[in-house]
Amino acid sequence: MGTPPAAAGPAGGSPRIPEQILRGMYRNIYATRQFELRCIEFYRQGLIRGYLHPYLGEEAVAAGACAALRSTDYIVSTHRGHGHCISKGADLRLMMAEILGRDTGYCRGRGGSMHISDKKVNNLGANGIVGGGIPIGTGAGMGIKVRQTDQVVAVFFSDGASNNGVFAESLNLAGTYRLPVIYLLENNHYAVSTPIECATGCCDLAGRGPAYGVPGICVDGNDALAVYQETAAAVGRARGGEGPTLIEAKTYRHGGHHVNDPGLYMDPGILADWKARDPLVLMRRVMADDAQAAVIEAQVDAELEAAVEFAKNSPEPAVEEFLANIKDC
Amino acid sequence: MATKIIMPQGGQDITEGLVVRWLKKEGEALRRGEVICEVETEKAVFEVEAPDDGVLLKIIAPAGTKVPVFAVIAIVGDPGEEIDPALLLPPVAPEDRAVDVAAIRRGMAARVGASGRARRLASEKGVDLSEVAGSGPQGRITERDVLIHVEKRKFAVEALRGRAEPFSRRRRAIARRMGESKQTIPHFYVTVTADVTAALELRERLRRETGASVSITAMILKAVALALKAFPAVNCRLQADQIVYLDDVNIGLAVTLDEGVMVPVLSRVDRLGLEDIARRSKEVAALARSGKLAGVEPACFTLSNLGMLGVDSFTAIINPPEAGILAVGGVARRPVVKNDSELCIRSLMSMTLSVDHRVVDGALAAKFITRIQHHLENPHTL
Amino acid sequence: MIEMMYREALRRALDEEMQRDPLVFLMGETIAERGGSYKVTEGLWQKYGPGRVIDTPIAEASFTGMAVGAALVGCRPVIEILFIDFAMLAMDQIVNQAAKYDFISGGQGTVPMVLRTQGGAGNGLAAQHSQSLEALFYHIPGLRVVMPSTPQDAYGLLKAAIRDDHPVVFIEHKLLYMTQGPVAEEEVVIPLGRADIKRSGTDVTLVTYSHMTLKCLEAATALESEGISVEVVDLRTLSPLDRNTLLDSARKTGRVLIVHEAVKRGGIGGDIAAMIMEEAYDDLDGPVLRIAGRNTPIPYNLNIEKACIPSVADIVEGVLRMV
Repeated sequence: MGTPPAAAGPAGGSPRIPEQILRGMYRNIYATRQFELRCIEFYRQGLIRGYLHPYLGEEAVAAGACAALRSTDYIVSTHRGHGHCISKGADLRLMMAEILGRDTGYCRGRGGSMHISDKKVNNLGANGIVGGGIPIGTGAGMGIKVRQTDQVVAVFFSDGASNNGVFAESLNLAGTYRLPVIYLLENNHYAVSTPIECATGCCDLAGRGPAYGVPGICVDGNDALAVYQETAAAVGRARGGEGPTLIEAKTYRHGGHHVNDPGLYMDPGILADWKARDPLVLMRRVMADDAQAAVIEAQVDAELEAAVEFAKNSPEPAVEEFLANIKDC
Repeated sequence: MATKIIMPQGGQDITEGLVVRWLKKEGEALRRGEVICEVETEKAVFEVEAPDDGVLLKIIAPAGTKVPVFAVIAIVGDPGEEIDPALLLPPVAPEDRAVDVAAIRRGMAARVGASGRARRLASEKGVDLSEVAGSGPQGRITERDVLIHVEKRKFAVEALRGRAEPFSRRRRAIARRMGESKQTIPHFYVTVTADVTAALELRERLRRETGASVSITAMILKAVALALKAFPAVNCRLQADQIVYLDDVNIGLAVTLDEGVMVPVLSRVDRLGLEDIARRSKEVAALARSGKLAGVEPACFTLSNLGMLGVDSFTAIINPPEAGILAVGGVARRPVVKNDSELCIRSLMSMTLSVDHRVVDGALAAKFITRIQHHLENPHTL
Repeated sequence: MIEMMYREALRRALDEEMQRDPLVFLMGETIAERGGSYKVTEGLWQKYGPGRVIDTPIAEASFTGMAVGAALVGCRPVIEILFIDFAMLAMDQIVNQAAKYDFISGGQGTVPMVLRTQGGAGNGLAAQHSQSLEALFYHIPGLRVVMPSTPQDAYGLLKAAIRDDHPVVFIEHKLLYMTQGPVAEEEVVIPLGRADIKRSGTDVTLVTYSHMTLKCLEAATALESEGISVEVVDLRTLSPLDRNTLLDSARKTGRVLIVHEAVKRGGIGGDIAAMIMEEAYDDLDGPVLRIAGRNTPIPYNLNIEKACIPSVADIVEGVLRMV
């Protein structure tokens, strides 16, 4: 039941991965962790309402995958999308403002946590419908083919979404048309509170790819370097015209499905095992230089404080203006 | 800096939580992130952490109490820090208050039909749409109507020698409130003259003996508070078609500004001593003059003192939805007949009480103001 | 009468019907051991076991289709789609399959399934989790659409829906789950297709349903102190519509205001208004009017969210403009 992979290799980084990329991944994992913790705090204080689905414990998947993408490549995200948003290069101020429902946020307070998108860095957006983004990402791949550019799309989704009809259809389409799409299945072993074993007859999710002509790779989702390497390989294939890849990244949530779910159904022993392989800690070990890590952390801390300051001081959307501008179409 | 710890939000539709237990005692030191208490909502038990290093200054909701979500359960801060009473105020209630049909009617009348273009132009030119005649369907105001109004307005001023100015936001608010008050509240007035000779002597004695600075205003505030306590039927407000009698004696103090008036509220005046009242009223007045309103508790009564501007007496306009207001003039040395035939010189001060005759009758008003007079003329009762 | 929460009333109905008929079974996401995201099915998995309370994967289209199939072979499935917004993934199975089988088979098979779901705004859940989509189902011949506003109605109508041989779309409201109300101690089955006059009056008829019923009642109470007597008709079942109760009330007061949370354009208020004006034009003192949701997706920020759906003040103002 979702037992984590064996302990990671020795620390000290990988000679094949450039320093800059390693630093970037550490920065994104650390930033996502701090951002989510802050959001939870704000939720308890009533500054954030509605739904909040923290990405705690899964940070390495977004950080590793996005590190293999160019800024001009697209991503499609999920309801648990803060990690993807940050790793794709979000402005923390605009993110925090959106989540606090302010007019200065990415979506002008209309979208909130579950619908956050960032056109500037080609983040096509989070989605409140499980699996809702998969066909959209597939379509972006088709658009790239029609426009004949060398971009690719990374579509993030969960094990829960992989049991939805549109997943099968999308994989089939991507395989048929050889679309430049990397399907990033974040297997955190739970669909809300339903464990993966109770939702499918076969837990080898990467194995679903070949049924549609799509190579399926399984990777340790808590090891950002491994995620990066597999995604980079898949990106290379996609850009080279060889079509889609399905990457199953095994990971685990550090908490319940959303901020109000205490996750009592999660086995404490298994959770502890996964927490012992905290992606933040693993990536920290890869950083050769303690001082360097500290500089990154300090920069992120300052950025986050500025983002909170900006968000808290931003106005909410004005009701009259909202009503006057309803498109009514 | 003192910060409040609130009952956290535990779920979209959760409205209250239970404080299960406190892991820290009042006065105990805290580190940022340390768990200080456990709360339980319908869904789960949550740990509440200290937001910063400091001390648990005060526990508001002891273990076992149920409080609404976002209500204050404790205050943390630096050791020995004074807790601002504003922190202890309950959260603003959601807008499911009693439906105020009268207010809805007023809103309907105020929302004159106007096109979007007309509204934009009116906003640009500082035009009050309720002054514009509409020529569109069903009297709707069009952009052209606004343009015509602007021309008319310009012409009207050019015919005079003078200067036209649109209403500032503050001016408009005052105009609306005062107009509403005078038009809807049946004001009833009672005047007495108080002999404040003894009160002034007390003030002088306090200054000599203790250095305390107690103004006449402070003494009047105390006298009013005692009178409100003695006549609780005056300590009321009109709200949503009901008369609400408040347990607390909170009094508004009118403070004149460069433009307009601000009325900060002093709370529980009946429980404060003269020196505290004097100090607090100076504080709120200073804050008011710098544009900050301190003290927003609901009050039923306001005090307005124009004595320092040299007036003998005046009648004040009630601050809705309060029940009354006391207008106090200056202190003057005047001849007075004592014991039927002796002439002596005393310090006299005129006070005029305005009450809302819908809730306070004449006899009650008379008894109320003479009680104030009694306290001022017998300052040892303050 | 027992005081009960809306969600408890629903659970009681499910429990009683599952007890009564072994062919009633439940399917939905996290409804089994966890008891459902809104706790409606709490305790039922423990009582009836995993054979009759079944957790599904996140696959609305297929498990809705499964309900059609199970119903065709003699069962009475009650499925739960957690948010009505997600029912959009299952539209083929609901509209093309469930609603039409009885007809296209020439009466050879009925589909006695209940699709329980919930909608509505108010909690900052934003555009994909806050819609009121009953009009889409109202529009489809072959579907029954039920929207209870009180615990008693929820209890009695869900029992009736389960016993009904047609496919029923049973739409709850997220803000109603924890509301309390009296429910009969004895078993009660409330027939579908009957509106309920929640408050009698003589000056204006408010036609409404679901959460708006509560707001209409609040508005009616406030208007009473103004001397305006408001009758509140709670539709309860949208399809089939209780035209008789509606027309009787329209003829009595002569003034009708329809109030629904769903977007005004294409909302069922338009259909009901047209029907009343077609049938009772000469008894009306003015046109039938509507107060409804604004033509916009629901935004995340709480203040502008509130502005998108009718408030008690909006309803009061609506009535004031008519009398």
